[in-house]
Amino acid sequence: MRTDDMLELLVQDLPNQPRPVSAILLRWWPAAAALAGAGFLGIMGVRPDLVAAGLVPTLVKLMLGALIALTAIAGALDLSRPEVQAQAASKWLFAVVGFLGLVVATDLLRHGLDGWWARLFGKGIVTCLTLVPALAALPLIACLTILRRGATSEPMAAGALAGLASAGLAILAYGLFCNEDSPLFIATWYSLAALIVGLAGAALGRAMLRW
Amino acid sequence: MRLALDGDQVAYKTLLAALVPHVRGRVRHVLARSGRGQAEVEDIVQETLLAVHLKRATWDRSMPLTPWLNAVTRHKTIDLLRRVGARGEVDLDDAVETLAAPEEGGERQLDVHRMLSALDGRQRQIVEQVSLAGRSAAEVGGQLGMSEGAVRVALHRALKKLARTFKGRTDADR
Repeated sequence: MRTDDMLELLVQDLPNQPRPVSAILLRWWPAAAALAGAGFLGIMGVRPDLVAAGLVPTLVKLMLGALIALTAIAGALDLSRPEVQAQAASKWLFAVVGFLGLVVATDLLRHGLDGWWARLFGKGIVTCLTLVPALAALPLIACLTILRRGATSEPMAAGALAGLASAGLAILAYGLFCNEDSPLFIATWYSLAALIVGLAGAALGRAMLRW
Repeated sequence: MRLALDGDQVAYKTLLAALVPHVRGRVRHVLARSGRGQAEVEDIVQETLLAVHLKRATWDRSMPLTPWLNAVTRHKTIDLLRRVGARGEVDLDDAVETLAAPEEGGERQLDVHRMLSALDGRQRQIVEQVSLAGRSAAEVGGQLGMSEGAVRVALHRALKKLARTFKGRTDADR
């Protein structure tokens, strides 16, 4: 086929206008997360002492989840454009790091170093590290499937951001269930859970986001 | 590009035609810098144009077009180099071809049959009618007894398949 002939094909296909990735993503990705979250909370239930004991820690969890989800998905969408570099797209994640620092600092200022070990290792570590990734699986798959419509130059980084963002949404649901309230616990294990999903996203992105 | 994205086919044609030399230049540049022959230039140019078309929604209208276009071109060129290079093979054929091939104004005739053989009968007919005979979707529809919409759907699927074939071909062929 000559290049000129190919132009004719493309011109005739012009009426098939692709929709922007963001429009599709922002509609279906939260829907997938809501489905997974609602199913999870429907079976496991919201923690019974939510109002009595856990309001402030739960708010911290929700804020952490929302912050991860928003910064990472903004980065993933940015990175779906070919001229955008991973570094530029990931810069908002520093907000998450800052927030985590704040959470840890609050814990240490209030309780000092005494018993930090006990505050760090709660009973819910395994639950947290398994349920957050499990909850993130469906939104992550949805996210990557939609991001395939994009054109990233960095599939691994885009996949990692998709993973982090999906973990962020998973944390929104998990945070309503989890009854580990130590800030040290939240900052450590929630982040680790998100990083696990981020790694999975990077591996999947490498395969799925090539074009 | 903005007009084209709003569906102005004449503007789109003009734009694409204007992009070709720019893309070709970039491809040559990247290939030369990596010390490779220029035999694949036209393949990459076409693969890039197909990507420009299929991925046009990823261009942010508020940004200049060139960085986006260069990123697509670069991605497609490097992608090919990676696929070819991954097999650690010195491409003697290409080197010979480059030396032997006369300048054809960049319009190297590609293996039409192999590219089109990926398509099924109907898609192929449509692609041939549109590209080689220069007919519009409506005309082809009338000719093949299909609605214009059905032709467009088939054409769009065919383009996506071509894009995949481009990628697969360099893996399988060499």
